[in-house]
Amino acid sequence: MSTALLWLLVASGFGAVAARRPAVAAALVTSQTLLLGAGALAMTPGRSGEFAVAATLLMLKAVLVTTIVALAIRRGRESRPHADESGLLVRLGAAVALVLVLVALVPEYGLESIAAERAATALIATALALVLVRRPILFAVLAFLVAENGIAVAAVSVSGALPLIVEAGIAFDLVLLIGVAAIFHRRILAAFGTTDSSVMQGGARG
Amino acid sequence: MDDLIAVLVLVAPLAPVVVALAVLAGTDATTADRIGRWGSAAAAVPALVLGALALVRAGDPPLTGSWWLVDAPGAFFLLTVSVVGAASAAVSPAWLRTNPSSRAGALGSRRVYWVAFLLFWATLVAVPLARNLGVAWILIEATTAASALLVAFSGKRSALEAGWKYLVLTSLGLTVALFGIVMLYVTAATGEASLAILDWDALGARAGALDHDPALAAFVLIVAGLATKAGWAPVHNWLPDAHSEAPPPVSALLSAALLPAVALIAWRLSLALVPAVGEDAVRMLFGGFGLVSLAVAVPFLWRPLPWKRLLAYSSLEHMGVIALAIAFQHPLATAGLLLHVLGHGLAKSLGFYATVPLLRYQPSAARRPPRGLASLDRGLAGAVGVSLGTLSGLPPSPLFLSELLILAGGFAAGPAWMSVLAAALLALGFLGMAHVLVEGLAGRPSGRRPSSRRGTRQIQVLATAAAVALLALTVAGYALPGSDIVRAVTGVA
Repeated sequence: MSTALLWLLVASGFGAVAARRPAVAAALVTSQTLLLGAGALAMTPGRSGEFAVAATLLMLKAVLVTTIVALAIRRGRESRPHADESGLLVRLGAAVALVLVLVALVPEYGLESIAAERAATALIATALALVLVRRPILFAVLAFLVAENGIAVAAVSVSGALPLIVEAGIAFDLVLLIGVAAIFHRRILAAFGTTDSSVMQGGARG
Repeated sequence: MDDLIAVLVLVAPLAPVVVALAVLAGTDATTADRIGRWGSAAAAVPALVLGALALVRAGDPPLTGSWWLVDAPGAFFLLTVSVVGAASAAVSPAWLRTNPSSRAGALGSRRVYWVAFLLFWATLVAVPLARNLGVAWILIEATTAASALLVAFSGKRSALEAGWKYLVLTSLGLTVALFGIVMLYVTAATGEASLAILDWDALGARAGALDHDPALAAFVLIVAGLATKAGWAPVHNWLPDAHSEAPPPVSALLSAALLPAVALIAWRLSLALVPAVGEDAVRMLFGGFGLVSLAVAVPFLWRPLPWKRLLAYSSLEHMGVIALAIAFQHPLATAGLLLHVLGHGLAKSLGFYATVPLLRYQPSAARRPPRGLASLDRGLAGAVGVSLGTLSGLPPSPLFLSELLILAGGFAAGPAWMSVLAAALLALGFLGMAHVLVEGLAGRPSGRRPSSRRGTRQIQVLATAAAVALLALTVAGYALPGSDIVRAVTGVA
């Protein structure tokens, strides 16, 4: 995978952290997923048949997940505005700090390029930042996607690729989880009138 | 016998799926409940037979297939998952009858409940059988979708919040674990793309030749990720809410089956990777999770918590004990771990099952600890007494013996400070639980007496069966150290 594409993937993750509106962040993350699928498909010439199937699976997963997220956003328009979130610089600063720390901590482990290793780690860190600094629950769903994209970057950069059965299992689980998360998104909006996670905190005290 | 085991390995996880399909064919709520209840009892049989056969052949090498592994340690977890699953299914109709149906109507809500419950259980049955780290991860992740829907099943705002928290935290944790798995795969791979690289025995065979730094980083990421699902502090935040809000039979399955099943995968990984990461890394990582879990749980055991929330923090405490047993890597601790998983499973699930009649006759237990149950109903008091007595580690419960074995293993393996600290925290936890036990049975009663024995007959039967099984487990526990089962895990007589 080219370094430019890896940078673009990481940049779209930061874009999601920075984006004010959930719909914009969702557009960035789903574009990231589709871009990754396209990138993997572009790598198939000269690779094994198993890699080609895995790349196709990645693209299929990207299309399915994009559809589910788009439907969730369309059906989940909110009547109440969210409470003020932390500022753009604070959000981006936290994400950059988390990325730098994680990239520094994870040793080289043998992917095809160092850039791929760093991009994978950066995407995992960006996902953690998304959960930590963003309140609308849609961002938690987007965080799954960004983290899974980080793992997909690593998976397509393994010499010989990951076994297909693992790729298929991961893709199935991800689509299932995003589906369940979309159900929760709808039910939470119906019950609380908002998807602002700060409104929910402290509700579950059985 | 080997052929029979190979067949049972396929039948055991598929049987609950077949029952789930049968429930969909039910034409009314009562029929769906009957199919779910009795079908689950039948579906548990293959897993129980498989577990028993695995224990019988404990002295032989593990039996393996393409994706599966049947061995003695896995058998303990398999037996726990199947017993708790069948018992939870038996208790479910009583809970479903007392709770309002969702918008889908009585039959619709029963179908949702039973299908999610049975798929969750089926996946859990497969986890102890997984021969491969990658397959185990896929199975653990697959439990999340069904169980998150079950946690939020009541539809209350607090349940939705608990379900959402569970879904987000455990999924993110498992994503971190997956990153570690990919890293481990790359480190262990020798060029070919093969799932077999992640087999437990293959990992163990290659561990000595792995680069230390990437192997250690992968190990830490995988265990830290699994810790979110196993409910180890400090990444346990979903646990108290999810256990409190889920339907009681589901809480039992979460606490007594899911948490230990995830711990089993972390344990198998540590056994395989010890040569790569070193004994000290395993001891410090799991010891850290164990001690922090105990330290976080114990203060809550002293607070006047609602019944289910108390059981949730007790789960945190007992998962801490299991983490310590893994950390010590000593044959005595291993014997204690296996005994602890079964004993905790029986006692904790009984406690959750008691919630169904408890909340009916003493509704205040939803907000504060139960009180004076001995003068309210002896059957209910017996269930709460057996559960709390065992969970507190009161002799002659198997958890008293298992905790003693784990601490003895800890002192033998070192470092001593870890065992001293664990012993002190366990003693404090015991005092907190013992106080709840005394107040729960002999305090000033509130609520209403059951008008007939029918309302508490089921819990009385379950309490009697659990008491007999727990005593038998204590007796069997004395034979566990030095047995073939422990030798198979540790390689030490």
